[in-house]
Amino acid sequence: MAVTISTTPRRPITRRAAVAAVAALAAIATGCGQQQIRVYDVPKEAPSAAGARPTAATTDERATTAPLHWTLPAGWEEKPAGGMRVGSFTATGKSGRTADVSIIPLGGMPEDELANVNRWRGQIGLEPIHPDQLGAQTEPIKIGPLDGHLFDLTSREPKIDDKYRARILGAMLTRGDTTWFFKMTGDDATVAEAKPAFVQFLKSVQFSQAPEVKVAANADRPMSTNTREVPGATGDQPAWNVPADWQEQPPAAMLVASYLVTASNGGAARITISSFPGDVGGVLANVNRWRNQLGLPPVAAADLPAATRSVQVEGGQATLVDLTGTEAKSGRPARLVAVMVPRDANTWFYKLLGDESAVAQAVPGFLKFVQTVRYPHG
Amino acid sequence: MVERIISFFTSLRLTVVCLCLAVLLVFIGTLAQVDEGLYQAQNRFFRSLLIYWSPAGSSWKIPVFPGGYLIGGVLLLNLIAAHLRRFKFSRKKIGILVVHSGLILLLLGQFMTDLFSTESGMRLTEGESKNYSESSLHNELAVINTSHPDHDRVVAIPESLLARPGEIQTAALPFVLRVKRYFPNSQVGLRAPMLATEPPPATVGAGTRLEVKPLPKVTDMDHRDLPSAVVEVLAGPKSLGTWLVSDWLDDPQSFTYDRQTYQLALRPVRYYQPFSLQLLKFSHDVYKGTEIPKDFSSRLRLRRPDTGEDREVLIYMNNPLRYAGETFYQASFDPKDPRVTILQVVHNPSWLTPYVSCGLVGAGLLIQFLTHLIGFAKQQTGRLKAAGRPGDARVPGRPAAKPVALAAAGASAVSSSIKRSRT
Repeated sequence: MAVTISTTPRRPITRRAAVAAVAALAAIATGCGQQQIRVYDVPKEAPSAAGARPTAATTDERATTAPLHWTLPAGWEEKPAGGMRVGSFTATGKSGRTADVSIIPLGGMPEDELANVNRWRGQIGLEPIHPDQLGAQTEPIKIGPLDGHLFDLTSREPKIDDKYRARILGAMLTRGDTTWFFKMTGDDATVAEAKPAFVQFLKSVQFSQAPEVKVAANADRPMSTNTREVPGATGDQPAWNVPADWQEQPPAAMLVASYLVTASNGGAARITISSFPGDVGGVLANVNRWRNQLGLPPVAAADLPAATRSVQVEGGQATLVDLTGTEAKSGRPARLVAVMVPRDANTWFYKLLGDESAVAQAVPGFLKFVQTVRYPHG
Repeated sequence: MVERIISFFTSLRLTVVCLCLAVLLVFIGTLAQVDEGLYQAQNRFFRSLLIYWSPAGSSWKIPVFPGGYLIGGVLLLNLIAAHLRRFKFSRKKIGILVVHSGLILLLLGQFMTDLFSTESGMRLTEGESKNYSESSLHNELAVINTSHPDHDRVVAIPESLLARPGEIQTAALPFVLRVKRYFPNSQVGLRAPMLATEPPPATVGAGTRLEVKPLPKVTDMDHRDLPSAVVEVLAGPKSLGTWLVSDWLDDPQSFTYDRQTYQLALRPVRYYQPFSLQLLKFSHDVYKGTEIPKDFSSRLRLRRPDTGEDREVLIYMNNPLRYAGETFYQASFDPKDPRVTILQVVHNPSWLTPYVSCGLVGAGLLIQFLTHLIGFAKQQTGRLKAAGRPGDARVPGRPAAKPVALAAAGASAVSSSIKRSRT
């Protein structure tokens, strides 16, 4: 018996329509994802009170690339910045002698204030100072809207033309992952005459608009307005328990906290805590920096595991370094115990440095302190 | 040959295969987001013709699965082709026609949205005025001629062109840009001379004092990439310098050529508007005694020079500003600066299509259902009349019989259609 299968009647579809449809699909699909160079005109950007990005009409690379701006004091002459300098000036005194002023940023690793002060002291023939003497040498100063420290150092002997004592005014400020050095060098009288202008110059410094929010790699997305709770001001600070024998010191510009511990024999050691974005050059770079501070030769990457050890801290592992040597600046034997704790997008540095006996007494309490620090955002 | 292609594209089997592939694609793409991040997974799986696989250590790209564009495109073509081929208009099939139109509109609309819509952000500090928004995903190398006193001419080179090694040449610029290195994500910092082992990446500009390190692309929604590139500017055989351009740099870098001043900036893609918004006040209210957010609102002044428009607008949660084809939402804020508001700017010319297509599909289904129901009810009534049941059809004063008959007819129609679907 024959079975008739009825089929749905088909309307003829033109070949042209079919080919056109396939061609259109192919054209659209192959055109997807292709981006073109756009050319358009826009009005000139006017600077606003909130600090819109200024346009530059000169080839002066400092004006267009400078992360900071300043007001040049009367009588100062700006010179072309070169090398490590982002700003270079000459201040001329009434005697006709000049003082040199420089602005140098250094990034990638934290800068120890004491080490830099002793470096400047060494430049003018002064002996290095100890950590407990640093406070007496420090003068608070405003660098733009931020707080910094100013050091005023004068040589005891004539250093310039064998007639004039040398004087250095040095100011340091750490902002983000960069430490800024503002320094005036010249003979005692000229620097003394120019000091008020130098202080005003520092106050006039303005850094680029909110770089911390924009420039950090993997910058955080802004907080959504759908959050249930607004983060408080203390949301980024860890919590720790300070041992009773640690004396809190005023932290330097780049430090989170600073403590002093004194041994029973009178020796002293200093504990500093700092935090910087990223890996700050990595473990090897920081280990060799600390080794350099104690006059020790650098180690190669292959020797790093033998030069460090791992310690358990809250939320993971950290790297510990224990070095004994001679502090390059003071010439005294010293011991350094440091712990690097990577946490979220930052690296926390805990450093114990000082007299060997003081450090030996403080190490157990120091390690317990580091291992019990409680970080936010678990 | 063409007939075979047409038969292929009009077959029901192709529809079923595409739907199954789509289900698989959504499953695989969703899992891939865990490792690759939302946007990368979207681009790789859904905004592509094919999904490629590269063997470890090889640069080969082997297509292993159709991408979202291919599956969606074939489905659309299949729907249109089958409709053109088989559909014969009748009143009974109006509902199906409307449903299919809604589906076609939905697919086309989403395709148009993917091609033409843009999402960007506008960050404003109180007092600041902007006439552009910035993409949070895409970046561009802007070469800006600032020589004209009234305006700047921008040549915006998309990041995708920087990613290809080689030279970029365009009639809009009198020089060539040679991309030496490109970092989709990077860390830029000031060089520490004591630690630096390589020369600076640039010979002029800010890059002489900087160092740049490549980083892996971000995969989570809480961070964004910071791209950088090393670009040499060539005017014929003469080099105008090698520049480090980066989103890290706040200010553009300048140079002159042929008495014209140019600026280089690697920045988020900008979408300029013929109007500007100035933030007058950003309010962030919390419930008294708590830190739980209560309200976020931005009071702005809208100015449009070509029409003279100058008025205040208020944008707050669930109350966006719709203006000139753009929609401005109160999206975010900066926890470090209470004076800052961040608006999300959406440009989507096909925003109406999902609403219209859902309406069409709903209406089509309703029409088709009612058509069947009424037809079936008429049929049942006719049968009853033909069977000669005087009690139901001729006795007056028994109007309740009609609604009962209709309800019975409706229930019978539903059960019949269920039975048909199972056979």
